Amino acid sequence: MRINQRIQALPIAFGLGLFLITGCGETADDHAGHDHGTSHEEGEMDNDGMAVTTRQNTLTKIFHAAPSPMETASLIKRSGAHFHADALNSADEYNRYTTSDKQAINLGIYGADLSYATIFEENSTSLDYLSSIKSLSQALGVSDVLSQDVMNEVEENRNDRDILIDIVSETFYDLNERLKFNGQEDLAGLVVASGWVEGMYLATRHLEAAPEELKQRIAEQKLVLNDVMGLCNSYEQTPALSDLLASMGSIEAAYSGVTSTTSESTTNREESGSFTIGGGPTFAADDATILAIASAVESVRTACIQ
Amino acid sequence: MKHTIILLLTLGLFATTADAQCRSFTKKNCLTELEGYIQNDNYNSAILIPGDEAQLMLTFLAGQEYRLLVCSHPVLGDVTYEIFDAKGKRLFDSRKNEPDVSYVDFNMETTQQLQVQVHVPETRSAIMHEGCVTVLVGSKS
Repeated sequence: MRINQRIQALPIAFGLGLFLITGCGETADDHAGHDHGTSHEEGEMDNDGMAVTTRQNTLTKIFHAAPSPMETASLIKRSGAHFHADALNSADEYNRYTTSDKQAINLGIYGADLSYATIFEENSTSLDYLSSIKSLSQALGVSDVLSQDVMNEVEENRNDRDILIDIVSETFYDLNERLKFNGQEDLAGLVVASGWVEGMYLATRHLEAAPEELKQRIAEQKLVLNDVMGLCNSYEQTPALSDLLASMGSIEAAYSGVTSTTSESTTNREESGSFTIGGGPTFAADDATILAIASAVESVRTACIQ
Repeated sequence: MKHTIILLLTLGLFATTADAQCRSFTKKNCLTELEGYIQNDNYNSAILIPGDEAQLMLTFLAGQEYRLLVCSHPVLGDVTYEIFDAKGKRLFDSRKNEPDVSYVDFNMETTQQLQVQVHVPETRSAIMHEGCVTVLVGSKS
């Protein structure tokens, strides 16, 4: 009886094995399952994230990533820029966004606004944006990333910038993870791309008073734009995502005015054990190029928040 | 037809379960190592087997301190990693510098795009295991 059951299961096991061995799509994330070659007892990944594999061919998994809006906000502040509340997309506008694409885009926009307000210790403003982000997350079916417990923790620590930064970072990590897990990578892409656009929009306000270091950092974002485009192009292209990426072509065009020279990268080990990495590319952009970037970013951002 | 439906349902279930276990593994074993750092938003986790590699290309910003963490299930053995600059010059090799530590801390003097290469060692074991590998990046000013 048991042997018969195993024979009947063979086509399924064979198909499963073939499916996993041949790649099943293109990411290693898809590989998991039963060992059909020897024993049939094991297979499911245990709670620690391990299982016997059925896969025979090795692969190279490519991860794509981009610096977070929190990093961009931190960079803006360190460059000597000031907080401009008038540049933010109003937190009250969240209920204007009714499609999942628009909700994801403005989740990215609000995420960057929230990061900016939090880094500049505008804590009351941060709470307003967290509330709007909670509403948009609910609309997208990922409300648990901002549970009531998290909101309570925010309220209890509303004057502690470091804790707020941790909470915001964890929230957007969880959001990215959940959207990917739910098979909504396109929405994760919209969040990342619009978040970068908003971060750049905030960095390029009031340029007439901007310190030189900020202009330098804006020029260096040429590399980050490359990260963002690479990340978003690795996802399945829905009309909304491909439209947003196409519109960002104008920003790429503006960035073509940024020049770079490269020296050899260097590494030095500090007494603390950490390393310092220097050298590499140096970017330069004249004022006209920075203004062109700012203008292109503003156009894309205006379309995002409509 | 019946077998095809069962197969598809089984595949979906396994993929979802494995993904969920990997998320749980990352939360439980990896994220705590980034305490004191602002974690990057991107979830980069995969189920790998011996001999697999993973690559991450990311821009690291001038003036920031970073922690790069390669977190893997012990069943995969000593997973190693290297950091290269955009021209392919190796800047860091965990086998030489930090054999017992799954993370490296570094400061960036300049903004650079770096590539992280992760290697899962081969095994001679008859039964080959797969396990989660997660690459996390944290930063602070």
